[in-house]
Amino acid sequence: MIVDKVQRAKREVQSLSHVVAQAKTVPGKFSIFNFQFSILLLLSTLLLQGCLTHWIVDGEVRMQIENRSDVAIAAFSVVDKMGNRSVWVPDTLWPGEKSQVYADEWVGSFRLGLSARDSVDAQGDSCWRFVELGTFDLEGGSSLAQIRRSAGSWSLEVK
Amino acid sequence: MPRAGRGLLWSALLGVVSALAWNPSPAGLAEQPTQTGRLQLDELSQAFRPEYTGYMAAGWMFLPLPSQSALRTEWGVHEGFAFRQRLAAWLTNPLEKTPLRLGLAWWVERQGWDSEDFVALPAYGRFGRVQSVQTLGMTVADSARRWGAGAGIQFLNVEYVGQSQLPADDSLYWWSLAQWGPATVRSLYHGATWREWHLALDLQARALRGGASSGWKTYLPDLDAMVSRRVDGGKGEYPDDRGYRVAWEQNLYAQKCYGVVSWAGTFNGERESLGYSGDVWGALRFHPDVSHLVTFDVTATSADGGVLWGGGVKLPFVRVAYNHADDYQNFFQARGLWVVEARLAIGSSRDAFFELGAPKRAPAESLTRKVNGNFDKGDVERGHVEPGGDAP
Repeated sequence: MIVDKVQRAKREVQSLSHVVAQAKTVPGKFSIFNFQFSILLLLSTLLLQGCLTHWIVDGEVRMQIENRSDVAIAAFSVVDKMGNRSVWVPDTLWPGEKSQVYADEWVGSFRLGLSARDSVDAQGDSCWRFVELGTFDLEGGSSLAQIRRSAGSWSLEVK
Repeated sequence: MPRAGRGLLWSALLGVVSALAWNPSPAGLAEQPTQTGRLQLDELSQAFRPEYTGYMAAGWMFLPLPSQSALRTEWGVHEGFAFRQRLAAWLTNPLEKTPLRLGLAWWVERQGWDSEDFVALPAYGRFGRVQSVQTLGMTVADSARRWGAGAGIQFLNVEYVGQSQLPADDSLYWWSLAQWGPATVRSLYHGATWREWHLALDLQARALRGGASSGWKTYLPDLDAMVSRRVDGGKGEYPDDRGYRVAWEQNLYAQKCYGVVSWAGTFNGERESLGYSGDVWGALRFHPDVSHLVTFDVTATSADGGVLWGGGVKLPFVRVAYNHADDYQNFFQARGLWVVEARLAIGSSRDAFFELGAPKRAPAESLTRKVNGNFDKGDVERGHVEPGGDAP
């Protein structure tokens, strides 16, 4: 995604360079000082500005989780004050598995949690319980969250 | 400076800027348009004077880091950008064969919070909110008899409401104002229901409006009184929810130093809406020049039972402020925040330029071009007049 952005920026700079070169080589008709060119430059700037700091600050987190615990996990979620959940990574992961990458706008500080397979009932169905992992500061960009369990307590490390 | 030193300096600067941050709330964002509409009409009332001929303004708040105005919702703290962009214009033209001037006014402000910053095209992020307030109208004025009148509409438009943001409807109001001498009466209606009534008395003498340029009359106060009533987007009326605001602006020294005090509250003692929820605020302003194009001020406003001290510097093209009362009232109750605003606000009275409320014009260099004696109008139109000659 970053590579795409860099490529797009390069193309835009190249096309702008072409326009500037044209402005220099056809004096009087398309001068850098003439009104039309100023308007073109202004419009180009306005079109490019959709996200001024987006070139250096990412507005979304591309999250991949890795299950390093000894049980299956699922529904990696953000939890609100009332305990409601917004599922971010829906994949069910067996121990050692990695999820797909899911992008969302959770840049900031949030409570995270997941469902862990607790037991299997008489019919052979899995029983899940929700585990709160705590509040984490998430930065924009690609993140790998490694989930571990030791001595019954869960931990999350975001890389 | 060595590279490591520069890096350290930038890190320290970013650290300071990040530390001076605040968290707007969905409720603060949703309440803001009411106050913004009032501010636009306050500005229009000041800009529209029978003696004046035009006013133009623009403003763009810039917060460079997404951590500076991170939104606090029930989900947590979301990094992003609170924004406020505004334009204003009041242009007039003389009406032929009459002493009247007709004017057209347009104030627009786009504001809210989004996950990315922008100038024109929002990202409409998942938790964003984008809304705008527009005030449009026509004016007519007679500068010789010092009266003027105007009327128009005010439109509060909710452009985008993301997750966790409070829902709101668009609202359409009607405004009207009349001026005679120092007095201004203004009203705001929602349908047939009154929303606000203002009475302002600008008693301070201003040379720009044909008053004295010095003497005791320049020390008379400017007074503003308002009563208001909350109307919920036409859905229902709150007959007991009425508020008031009284403001006093006083020249303290040579029309360069001013004190401003504003009291506000509700008649039933409950919070009505942003900006006058039992608020008391004051400001001490110093203008190096009487055109008021440059302002240094210190402000204090009541906020959550305490006092919020702040101040700022306003220059013709930029405003820098910290904890300023204006930002608390007009920028989602911002506090503990450095604000940099690219701005322009300039009023005109024929060939004079000035800031709103200024008593005198800005110092301007005038160019006198002398011409040789014998020429006719055609010479001027054909550009045959040569500069530098003696006057006839």
